[in-house]
Amino acid sequence: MKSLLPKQAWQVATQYKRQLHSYLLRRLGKPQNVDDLAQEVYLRLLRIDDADYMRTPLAYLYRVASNVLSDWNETEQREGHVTADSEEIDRWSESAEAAWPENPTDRLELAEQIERALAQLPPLQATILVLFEQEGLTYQEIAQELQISVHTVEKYLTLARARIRAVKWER
Amino acid sequence: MDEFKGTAEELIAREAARWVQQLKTATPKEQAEFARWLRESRAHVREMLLASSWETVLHHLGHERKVDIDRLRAASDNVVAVTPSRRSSVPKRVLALRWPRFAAVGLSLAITAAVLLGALPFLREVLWHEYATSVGEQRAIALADGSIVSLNARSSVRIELSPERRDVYLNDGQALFSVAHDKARPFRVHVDGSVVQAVGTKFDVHRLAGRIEVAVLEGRVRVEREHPDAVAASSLQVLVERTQLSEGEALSISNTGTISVPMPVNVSEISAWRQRRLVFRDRPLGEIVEEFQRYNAKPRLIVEGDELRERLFNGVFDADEPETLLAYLASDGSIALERRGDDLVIRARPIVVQSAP
Repeated sequence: MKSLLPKQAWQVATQYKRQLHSYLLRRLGKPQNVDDLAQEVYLRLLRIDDADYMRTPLAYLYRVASNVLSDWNETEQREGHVTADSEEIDRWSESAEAAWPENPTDRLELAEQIERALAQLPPLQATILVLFEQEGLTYQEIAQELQISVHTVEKYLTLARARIRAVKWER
Repeated sequence: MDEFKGTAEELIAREAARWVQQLKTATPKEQAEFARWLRESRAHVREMLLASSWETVLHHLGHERKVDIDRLRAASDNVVAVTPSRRSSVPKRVLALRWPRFAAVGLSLAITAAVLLGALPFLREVLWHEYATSVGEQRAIALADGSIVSLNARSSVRIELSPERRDVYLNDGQALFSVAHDKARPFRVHVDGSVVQAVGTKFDVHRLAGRIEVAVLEGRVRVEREHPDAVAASSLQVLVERTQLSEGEALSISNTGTISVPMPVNVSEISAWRQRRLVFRDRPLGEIVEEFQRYNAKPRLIVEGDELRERLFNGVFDADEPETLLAYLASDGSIALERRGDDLVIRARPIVVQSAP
């Protein structure tokens, strides 16, 4: 892999991140695909130039994952199985709000899925997660709002993130 | 209540979640640490991909459709206990219907179910919840009306919200109430036959062995004795003892129901327990020790002798470090400390009469 300066790597990664997440979004309910992706990304990460990777590991994670996805798509195209996914990925990489589905029905469905997932968390944790991610409040502000300690906010935020990941994604 | 026990996968999910957070402000050293962690296993890569996807998802949702915070809060009072996946994780939260008569009518199960379903919105309003904390544990409870109850260690409350009223029963310990303003629904804290009523205010209620202490941090409350039979009370014109308490004031209610005259208090000291700080002004040693036991099961502190139990002390302590109290007591020449197994006995040092040379 060509080595990049950290800043460039980050820009590239942000660009890839959207397309990657739009892919993952559609597959949260299909663990098999995510497993395959993780396996391939893992193997490729082991082969990356050490110094660059050590500086911006997250950027590399996104970039490598996106490369894997586009390789898969090329293979599919060569074999004549042009899937809806490859077209969507092309379109999303051009659009600013890439990771978010364009179709209003899909958007609504996704929003409802997320709300259902949030409803399965302990309410205090869900509240903290929403205040942080959506309202953009700081730890301090959340702590004040909910009358709890900053330490608790931090702890519950981590718990909420981990828990929501474990929530079953209905199809 | 918040152990996230489970499979290795869940533990990795938690690590990944921690990294999502930490990477926002990570130093080069932490970046390198994360880089190594990521390379440790395929599972780490997988969880990190999923964790960052969720972050994107939640972030985008904000632009699209805000999740209603109030609805989430309401969930802590109505929906939560009904969600099957939550039931096992919150054993201390008790859900009960207060209309057992519905079940006793003797109709067939199907009809009962239909009635219950039809009456569901109504039934939800008479649900009540109990919250309890164990030794050392503090928690905040956000109520559906926007009020917040901060519960101190080893305390318990029962909360009943209905369209007409908000009733809280402090069954044990201490709680601080930040009451959301709602004139139509009085907020009442019931404790051992006394009621503290508020409309949009912040106050603390502390249930001690021999009395109840009420302190107001903001606004005003009314304190009165509850007559066991309200109808009798009104027909017999029984005089109900009633006191107004203003901001920065505290009073105590004795075991016999006598309400003391309001006295000024230091507001920051009243709420210090939420920072796990214990502030004592002229408090009997027996009570001070009891407070420490609220936070620490061990060592068990035993004060010997009534004189010493009632002796007054001042001080500010870290609630989690009973050693600071012990060091303070040890510095008092008239007190002796003695370890007996897991117990620590505090007693007055016998007065040594020095014989003349």
